[in-house]
Amino acid sequence: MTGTPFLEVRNLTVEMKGESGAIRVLDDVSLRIERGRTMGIVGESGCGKSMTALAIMRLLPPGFEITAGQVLVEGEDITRVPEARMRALRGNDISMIFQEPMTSLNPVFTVGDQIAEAVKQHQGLDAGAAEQRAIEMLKAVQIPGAEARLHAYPHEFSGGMRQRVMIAMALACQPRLIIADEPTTALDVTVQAQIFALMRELQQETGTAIMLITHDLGAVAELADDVAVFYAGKRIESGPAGAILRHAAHPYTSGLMSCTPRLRLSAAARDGAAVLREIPGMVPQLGRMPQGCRFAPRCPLADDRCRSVMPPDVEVGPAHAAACWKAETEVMA
Amino acid sequence: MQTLRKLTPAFKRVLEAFGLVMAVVILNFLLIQMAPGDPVEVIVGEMGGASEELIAQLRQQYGLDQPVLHQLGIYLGKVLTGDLGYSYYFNTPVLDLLLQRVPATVLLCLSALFVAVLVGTFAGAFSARKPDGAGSHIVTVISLVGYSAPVFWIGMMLLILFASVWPIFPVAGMQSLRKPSGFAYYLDILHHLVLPTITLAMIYIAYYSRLARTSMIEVLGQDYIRTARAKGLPENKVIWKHALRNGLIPIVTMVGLQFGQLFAGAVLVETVFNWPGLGRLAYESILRRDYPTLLGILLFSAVLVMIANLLTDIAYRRIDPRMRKART
Repeated sequence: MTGTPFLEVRNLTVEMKGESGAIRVLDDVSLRIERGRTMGIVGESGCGKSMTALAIMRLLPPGFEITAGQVLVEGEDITRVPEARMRALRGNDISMIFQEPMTSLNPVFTVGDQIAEAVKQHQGLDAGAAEQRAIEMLKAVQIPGAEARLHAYPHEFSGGMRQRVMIAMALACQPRLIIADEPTTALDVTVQAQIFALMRELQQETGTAIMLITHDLGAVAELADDVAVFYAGKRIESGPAGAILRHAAHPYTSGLMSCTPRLRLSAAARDGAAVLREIPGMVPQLGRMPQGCRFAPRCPLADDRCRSVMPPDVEVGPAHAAACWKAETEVMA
Repeated sequence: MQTLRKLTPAFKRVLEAFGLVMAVVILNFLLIQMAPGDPVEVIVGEMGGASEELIAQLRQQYGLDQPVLHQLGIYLGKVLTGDLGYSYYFNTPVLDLLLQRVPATVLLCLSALFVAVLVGTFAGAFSARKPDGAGSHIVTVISLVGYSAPVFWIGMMLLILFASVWPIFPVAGMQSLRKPSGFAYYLDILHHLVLPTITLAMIYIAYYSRLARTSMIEVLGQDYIRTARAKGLPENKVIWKHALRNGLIPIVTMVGLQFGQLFAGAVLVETVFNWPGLGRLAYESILRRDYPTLLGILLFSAVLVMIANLLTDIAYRRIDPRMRKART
């Protein structure tokens, strides 16, 4: 895993221009996504996970802007390339699957049209060849009766099937990175498992890298090779999935993991202790960030330094970093 | 069984439409009975006066001495057989009179509608791309002016500017006095059509551009537009293919609802431009108390509006596949 990764995000900062000045929604975020690997991005709602994805795609909503940092795709800084170059990358080298399969497909075009469109755009295939590709893709995502379903409209599919169509669309041009923004959040649990299994299978076949944005730690444990944890617009911990899941270095990460309910009741729970845990306090509001570490107000370990100085990334293991003053001591102990 | 199930909703629609037309006829008949003015007096006035006996004879001849409900019954019976009666003024069958006038009105209304939808949608979609841009503000101002200016005033201004000061268009009518033949015949009509069409279309251009703007701004914020962009499609395709098809849905709905108003607008425009259509005939028939003609025109316009609604329904289904399975 040495050399240039497929995607490297360096010190990315995104701001929202508001009437009362700029509000920072992403602050100095760095990430590396290696070829063919899966990076899980974890964090609570509003922590900047989706913003990072949209910033990489340069599809930020109006009013949001990349104000600092770089997004390197095989060494090319795409924050500065012209829009035409960006369009050539989108859907072709990097594609995206969104959270809401119910609203992410255009209701007035057939799914075949919508899959074939990207292929026509990027690979210059004619209508017939593009349709053929669309059929292949529908088969690849295991939609039964692909030839017939090609001419169906999105409203004729269930949520899970629509997300399969989205995956087919994202994979149609054989991209090298797929950004999946909470691809299963809107789906039933049983369907979630199917979609994850499908993604893993397709990744093994195509060797594409995946950036999986989720708040489902179970999915991360199952799918991710690497993990990045976000809190309040900052990436606070990153490293190999195994290392993070076993030895979380940042108190927020460990807090997050203890909040995940286990199906098998622990001995403590059987004895009457609370099964559901929570991290006390609230995520700070954008634009009203505390000085120092952003997690300090909720952190059981916080001291005066935490509350006044923002902690830098600290190396806590091989390729494992955490932005926490206490991290080093935690692991050493 | 399959065909029957398919036919039933269509049949139901036709029945509904028929019932509606009959209701319109009855309502119009009663409304006109209540209106002041007496056709016999107008006829007598044009004759330069008449004796009591002649007036009584005219009343009897036209059936005006009968009770109202009796008159209505006779009228309904005749309408059902396709007889719309005789014009008091022209002394010709109303149906013939109307059939002569319908093409001119339909031509004018459809041209205006076409121009309004085309220009309005384009202007609205254009301004939705950058809602706060200069172009968007210009479209907004122009459409507000178009929306607030009275139709007859716009017509007269256009006449003054483009038929008098700078005479590039004819002042009135649908054809030149000396009718050219062949292709030139159609060009001549087209030439006459320009100013009335613009006049009639103006308010709808304004209306549809506002509607298209709102609808496109909403559509452009939808998830599937982001999906289209994430696919790497050029902005033109995102707007004119993915967004426009969705943005058109409320416009099509409006076109169907407003066809009646468009027809009402045609009355004014036809009067200003001396356009030989139903609208001008309606205006003249009111002045002449030519009730059978007026009733016939109202009946025709009701049918035209209904046809327009039916066409809207079909267009609606073509644009939005989700409507295809839904019952009307």
